[in-house]
Amino acid sequence: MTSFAVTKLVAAKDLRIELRSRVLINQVLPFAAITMVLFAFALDQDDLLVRVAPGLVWLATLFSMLVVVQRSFAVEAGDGALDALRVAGVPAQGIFFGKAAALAVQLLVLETLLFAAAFVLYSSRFDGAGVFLLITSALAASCGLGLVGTLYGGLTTGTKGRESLLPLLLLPVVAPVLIGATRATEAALGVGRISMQEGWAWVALLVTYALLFGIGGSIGFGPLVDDTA
Amino acid sequence: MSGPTSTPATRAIGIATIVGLIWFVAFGLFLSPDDAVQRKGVRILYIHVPSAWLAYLAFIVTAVSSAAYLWKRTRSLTWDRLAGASAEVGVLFMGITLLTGSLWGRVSWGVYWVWDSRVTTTAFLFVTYLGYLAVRGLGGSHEQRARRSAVVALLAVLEIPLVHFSVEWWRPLHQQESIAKGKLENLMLFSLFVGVIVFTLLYVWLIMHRQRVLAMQDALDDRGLEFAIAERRQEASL
Amino acid sequence: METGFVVLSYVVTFGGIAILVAAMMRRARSMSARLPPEDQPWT
Repeated sequence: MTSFAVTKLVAAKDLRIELRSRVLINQVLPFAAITMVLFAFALDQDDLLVRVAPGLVWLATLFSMLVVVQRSFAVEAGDGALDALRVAGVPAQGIFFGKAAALAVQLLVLETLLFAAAFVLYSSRFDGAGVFLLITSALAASCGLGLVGTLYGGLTTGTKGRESLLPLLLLPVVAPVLIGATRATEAALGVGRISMQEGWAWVALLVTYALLFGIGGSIGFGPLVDDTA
Repeated sequence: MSGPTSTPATRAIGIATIVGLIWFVAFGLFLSPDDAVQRKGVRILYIHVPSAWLAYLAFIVTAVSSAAYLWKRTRSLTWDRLAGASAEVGVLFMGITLLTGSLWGRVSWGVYWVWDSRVTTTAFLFVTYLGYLAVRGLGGSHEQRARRSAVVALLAVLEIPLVHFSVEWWRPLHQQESIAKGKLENLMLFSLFVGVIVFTLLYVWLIMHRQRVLAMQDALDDRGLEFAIAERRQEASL
Repeated sequence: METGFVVLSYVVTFGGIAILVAAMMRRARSMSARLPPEDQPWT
């Protein structure tokens, strides 16, 4: 079975599990929405909210991602499914890209709804000129997040309280995505003094990030999840 | 200062280090002149700059040792322990860098922190390697720990340039800040140079000892079961 | 006033290192006592 076939199977499996259990919709989305509301409580100024809305959307995405990543591996841990796949000789790369793809799709759904929430809650405006930039940057960012999330999620899954390590490891790693995605979104929405051209430069960074972690992750994922000595 | 992890090599390096440190403190605090612009504040830089250099060196050693462990032909737990020891000392020096940098900022600019690219990336590095040390503490066999943390160390090598670049792009170092650091006179350059040498000696001394302590820790873990059984047998025979 | 910050940085730096070194040596002594010499190949 080729790596690509494995990727498609694993991604489809993860998304099917999500469709049936609806954890993203029932639990993660309300959490993200509450986060957006709490931001408004903390920041307290309406004109400030419009200005920082892009950053807040991506912050809420990152915090929610922690939950989604842990969920992504919790579905495997129950029956030892990940170990079973590896013992059966399934290529680690296929599993890695499959789970990363499913994670990216879930994040894209989350981001779409969070942007909609921002338009409502923070009165973000949108003039259509930046829609292509907005979509591209969200795609690039989600790919990067899916890849690193799967990588570090695989490391911290398992017993003995490893999950609490996920935020400490993952949040520093995704800092470039936060910076790049926020700047690109600001350019797309016409917020702040950043040009569309600069926004596209940030998208280039996001794509580079995804490429580098795609390569690094496909090499590192196997050793990280194989707990045999 | 002699202990169970001392050898003639560490004693020699240790003596050189102490002599160097005494000279360094004497020169840094008393014998060197005040800077024309920064006055006394420059003395903090004598610690801050070498400390930053050594932290970077330590993290490079961690990365190289991690790669050496992962490569089958040189696989040995000594590389893993060296990576761990170097990372610990690196975190120590990075902490010193951040602290002295903050104090220097207070003296020179009146603020303890600025969100420029250099400071931000340094703080980021600090947190990243704290994470690395946490991964080393996850448990499991020595080989599992070694492989896991080696991969994490190499991923850090991947992510740090990405972060550095994106933060640099986000907050480029402004012209006035580089001017504010001032032009360094020859005497001060010399002091920084000596500081780097002394701190490097200190770094080598620290990792030699620390690596041996980690080796003892691993040996104790391996023997742990044996010791417990031996103690049990002793109790039984009484 | 600046002198205070300068002295503080030196004291914290070298004092901190000294404390950590002392702790490390103490730990080394207690571990070395419990281990046979073949586990300490550098001696």
